[in-house]
Amino acid sequence: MAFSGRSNKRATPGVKDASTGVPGPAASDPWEEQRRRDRADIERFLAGDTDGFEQLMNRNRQPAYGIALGLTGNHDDAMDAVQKSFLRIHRSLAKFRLDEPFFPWMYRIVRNTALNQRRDEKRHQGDLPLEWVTRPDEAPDALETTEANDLRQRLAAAIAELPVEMREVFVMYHFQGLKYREIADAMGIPLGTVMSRLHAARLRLRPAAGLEEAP
Amino acid sequence: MSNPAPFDPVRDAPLLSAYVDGELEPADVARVEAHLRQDAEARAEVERLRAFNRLAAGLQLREAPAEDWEKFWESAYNRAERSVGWILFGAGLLVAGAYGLWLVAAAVFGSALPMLVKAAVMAVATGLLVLLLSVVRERVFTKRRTRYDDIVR
Repeated sequence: MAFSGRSNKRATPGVKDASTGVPGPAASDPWEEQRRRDRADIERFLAGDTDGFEQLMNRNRQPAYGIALGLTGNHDDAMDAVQKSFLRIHRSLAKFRLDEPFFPWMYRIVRNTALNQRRDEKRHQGDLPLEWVTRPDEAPDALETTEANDLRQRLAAAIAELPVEMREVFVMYHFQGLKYREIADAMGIPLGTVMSRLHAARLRLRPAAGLEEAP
Repeated sequence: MSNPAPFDPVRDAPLLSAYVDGELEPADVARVEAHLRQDAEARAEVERLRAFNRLAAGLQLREAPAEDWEKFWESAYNRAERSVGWILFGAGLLVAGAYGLWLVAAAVFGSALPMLVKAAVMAVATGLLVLLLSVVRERVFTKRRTRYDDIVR
């Protein structure tokens, strides 16, 4: 899973245009390229080359950070959770099955670690650190205006208030650029559950986005 | 060939999100589009979902600063080393403590002290050892057991 373009949003073969709803060509196996590179690095690491581990983790660190940030809600706890996760991965990598994609495995470790971290530290700060990267039609014209900042803060607070299972799906789709199938694989849930959680999350967030009056 | 199930506006509402995201199979796309042709409210809902997506597309989670990643590996290695240190310390304390307890027991029970005093001395020595081990165990070995904790493939 190579991340490109916008730093934490991924370009994927078969991406569909979110604004038109027109499906692109289906990706036969979205994990294949990532799996090949991960497998090569893991094999290097298991053969005694520590650079293999660092390369594997450096390639996956921002996605891991995004997962942890979505769950802990603040930078320090997210970095701490990523670090603990990477140490767990280092200890467990020998047990990893090379015919499986690495990302879902890593995702589960980071998720579990971040949830434990959040529970242990009890200092979840609520608002996600969001930032504008482009000016969408619905955003205020000047991204640094008070209005834009208010909108960003309202959305961040509303995302942080989502139930954790909705927030995970929302963050993975909108901020990490994963497709429904990839989210389902990573979380080990049916595709229909991804669909319903994402839809429910959007309905809950619309009032904060100023697109609908709160009920 | 059976007809697809009719679109249920409540049950099938998540299909509208998936339609906007381009995540539906062709058969479901056809089913949603057939419904959209008949239902103005569904068309309005699709527009609201697209508007939300355009807004969300302009946002991203702030990335960790580059300097934090530079420090990341160094502190990760420190953390790993400290865990090894705590494990060695705990194991050493266990062996040394057990040996110390045995020496105390041998000295106390080999003396002419009254039985009550012997028992008190042993209770103090054992309690001290248990307290020390408890601190080390809490630091090193305590596993927080929750439904999220086990990572098994």
